[in-house]
Amino acid sequence: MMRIHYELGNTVLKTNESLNLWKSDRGSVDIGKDTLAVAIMRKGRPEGYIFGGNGKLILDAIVETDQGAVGRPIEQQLTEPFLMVGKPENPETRSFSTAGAEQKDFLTKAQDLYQEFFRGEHLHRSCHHRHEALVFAFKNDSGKLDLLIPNGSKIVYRGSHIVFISDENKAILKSPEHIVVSKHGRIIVMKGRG
Amino acid sequence: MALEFACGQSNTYISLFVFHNYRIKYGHYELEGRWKMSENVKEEMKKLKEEMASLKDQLKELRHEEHGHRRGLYVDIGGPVRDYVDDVMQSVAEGVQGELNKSIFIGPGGTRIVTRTRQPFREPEEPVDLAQVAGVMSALGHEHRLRILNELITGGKYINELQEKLSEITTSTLSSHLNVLEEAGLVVQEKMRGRYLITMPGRTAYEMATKIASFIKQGEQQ
Repeated sequence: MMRIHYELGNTVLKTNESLNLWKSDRGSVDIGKDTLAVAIMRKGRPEGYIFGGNGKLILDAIVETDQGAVGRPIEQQLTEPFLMVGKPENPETRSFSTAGAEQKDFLTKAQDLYQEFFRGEHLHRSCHHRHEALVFAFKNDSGKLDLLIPNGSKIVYRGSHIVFISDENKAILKSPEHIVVSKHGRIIVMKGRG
Repeated sequence: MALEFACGQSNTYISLFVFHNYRIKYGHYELEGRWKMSENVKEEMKKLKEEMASLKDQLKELRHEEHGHRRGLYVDIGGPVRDYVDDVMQSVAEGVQGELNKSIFIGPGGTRIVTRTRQPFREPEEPVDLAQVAGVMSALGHEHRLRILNELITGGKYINELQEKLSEITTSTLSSHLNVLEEAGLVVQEKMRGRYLITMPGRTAYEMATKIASFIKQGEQQ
């Protein structure tokens, strides 16, 4: 695994406009105007951000089977800080302006999230770098990190109760109710423990 | 002086050269004798090893047949007995297939497996939420909603595709029906593409409803 050294910026920014951070036919991550942000730097360049404020995650964690669809869409308002590491060109630097010095609460939360995300041996340290995937980390109600890794047509989502992995003709969904594995029209559905 | 021993069935000979002359200078004869003996024994050993290997293979095959599926392969049990066994095996196979059908579905799109733990019937630990049951039945209790489910069984559809199929109702009425089905968990809508999909419970509920109607119809005819 390749180790990449990041550091958290110390300037709090805010978005000048609504931004779409990721979009595919399966889901999207958007942030609204005036969302706070702090850059995650690598070699002096921003290679990610921690956002806080007005965001929204949509993910259709649904697998179609001949016996009916399994899963549900995930729609989550992102009011707590969340992290994005990936394409350095997105969003562009001109989308931000300096927020001011009164955002200590956000900066503290951002530092906590940064520490939690980058501690230990995380797969995303290498996977986003090698394949230019985006990595999102959202703190869930239980205090753990939900991960979303979109990479082209591939999506990996690990939530507190759902694991969803999708490629063009392949999908895996693990929820408390079901475990569904679908590959090229062949589907295995296992009933979960409820 | 040479001695020859005939070795029974295998018709092999082992030749030994015994020298009564103790003089070492005739050592090359002894050497020749040993060489001959060595070659013959080696040849015999090779043959015996081959024979042993062949016997081992045969033994292995016999054991495999004893413990494996080929047991009785060489026994022809004859017409009536064979037919009887065939009938028994057929009924067993049908029984097994019936059991498997409860858990394994094989469709044209490939093999789909639904594992369901077979458990003895027992009273549910939690009482059935009759209000929820009523909600599901209520969602099913409209012809248009049943038609929507029927359309969605063939695959996910956008609202305009459903509108084409149910052209006699307005888009707002169609949306209202879809909301009812979605709230009951019978239909799910993709947030990104906007397609409506029938859920697994939705399909089961629709199939059960149509089967109940079919039973009632059959009862009336009888």
